[in-house]
Amino acid sequence: MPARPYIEYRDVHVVYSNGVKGLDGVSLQIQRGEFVFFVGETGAGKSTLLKLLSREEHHCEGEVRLDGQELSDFSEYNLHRLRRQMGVAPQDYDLLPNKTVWENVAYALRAVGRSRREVFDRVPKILLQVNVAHRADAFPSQLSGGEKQRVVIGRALINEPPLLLADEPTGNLDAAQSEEIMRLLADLNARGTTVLVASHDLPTMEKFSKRIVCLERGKIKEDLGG
Amino acid sequence: MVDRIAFIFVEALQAMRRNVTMSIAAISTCGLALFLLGGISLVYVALDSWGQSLSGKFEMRAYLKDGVKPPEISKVAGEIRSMPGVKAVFWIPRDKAWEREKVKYPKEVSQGLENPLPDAFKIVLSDLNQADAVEQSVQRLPQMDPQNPIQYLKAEQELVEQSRSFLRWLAGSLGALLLLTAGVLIYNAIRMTVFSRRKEARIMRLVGASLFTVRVPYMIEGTLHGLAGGALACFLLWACQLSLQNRLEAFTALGQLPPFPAGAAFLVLGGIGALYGFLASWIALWVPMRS
Repeated sequence: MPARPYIEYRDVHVVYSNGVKGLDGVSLQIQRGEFVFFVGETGAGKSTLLKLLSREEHHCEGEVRLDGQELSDFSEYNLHRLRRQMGVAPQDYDLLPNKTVWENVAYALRAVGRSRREVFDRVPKILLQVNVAHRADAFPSQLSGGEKQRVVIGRALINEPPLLLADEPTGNLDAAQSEEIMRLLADLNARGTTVLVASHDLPTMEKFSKRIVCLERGKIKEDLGG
Repeated sequence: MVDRIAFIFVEALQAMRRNVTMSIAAISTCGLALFLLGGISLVYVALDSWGQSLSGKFEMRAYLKDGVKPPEISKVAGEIRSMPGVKAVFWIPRDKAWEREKVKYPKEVSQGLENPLPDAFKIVLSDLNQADAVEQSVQRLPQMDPQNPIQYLKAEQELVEQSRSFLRWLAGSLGALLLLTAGVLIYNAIRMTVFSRRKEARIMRLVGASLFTVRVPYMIEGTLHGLAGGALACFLLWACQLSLQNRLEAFTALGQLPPFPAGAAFLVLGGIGALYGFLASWIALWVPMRS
């Protein structure tokens, strides 16, 4: 009997309020511990696939399951239970500009109910893990694009999630920084985290032999195993 | 748990500090609305108590039949005194009344004329609303003279009562309008605060903070805005009362203002402000958070 997929999209349709199709009958299965790139042009539906998992986006038809749980079952009031099962690194960084790197991560930990003691214990470890411990006292405006992305990934790791969603993590980075970030994500994946990355940075992806799902106009065009 | 509550309160206070302009705008607008509301309430209370005091100044004259004996007069006086709306009853013997008339109109009342006045009661009212009922009840008593109807300043009493009703209506509607305005102002302030801090809210939700953790700091903020607005209104009212009192001291005939009820004013205005801040922020959070 085949193992139950960790993530499953089953004939998913998303139509935006302006009538544009975000996804058009996507079916996809992802196993625990996989590293998957979603590739495609702008509007192909790669970010939508990630946002369906974090429930920032609602699907119109079909099913989206995470570890067997149908995601539409989560209401606004228990959505936090779903979100604590994953880390989200959004495309636009979303770092608080008036807080230091340390405070940005600490703030997220406090927001999910961790005590001050836990915060003091966890933040240095997280910053070390994503290699920005030396920039702990810097404000986001003082960081490079790569460093900002590391902080965002660090913040996404506060719940030690088994799943990490990264939306265009190398979008604003040069080739060297992009590779660094991808290596960081690959390291996390090697430690057991399932990593889903939406990107159109093909040159960097090609350096990592991972599964690539190509999307075009809301449909899966190709699914290339790693 | 304490740690969690501390985080939520610190978040609310830090947000107020970070959005000083917005906080000042919310507190001052709420304070102003509550000041006007409190001012109207105080003016109403003062005028109402003045109106109440007028009741004692209105009196009725009720005339007895000829030949009613003093023990019976005393019994009737007791009956009238027990009627609702009656403050005091005084018996005016016909002889005394006649003597007074003589003193008042020595030329008109010629000496040797027989006393035409009946025994009478002077009835002082405690409630002008009851005037008509008292009049009818007294007139129905068998000892009273049906040929000699009760005399009182009916039109004037009605005017005073109408003025008080109008004042009540005016204070009620203005108060309601101001309360609504204060609510809308706090609602707007919280809406703008939510808008200005949507990034924090988004991050909190993305990392897995519960809706409660995200919303409660805003609600605390709204409540504190309302409470501070109430305190500001209380202070402004006290300052106004002090200033008015100082001016009135020059006019001794106008008397003194009653002392400012600082504790009660703070409790009422602070309470209304806090409740309004809480409700307005709750409503303000409903729409943006759902979308």
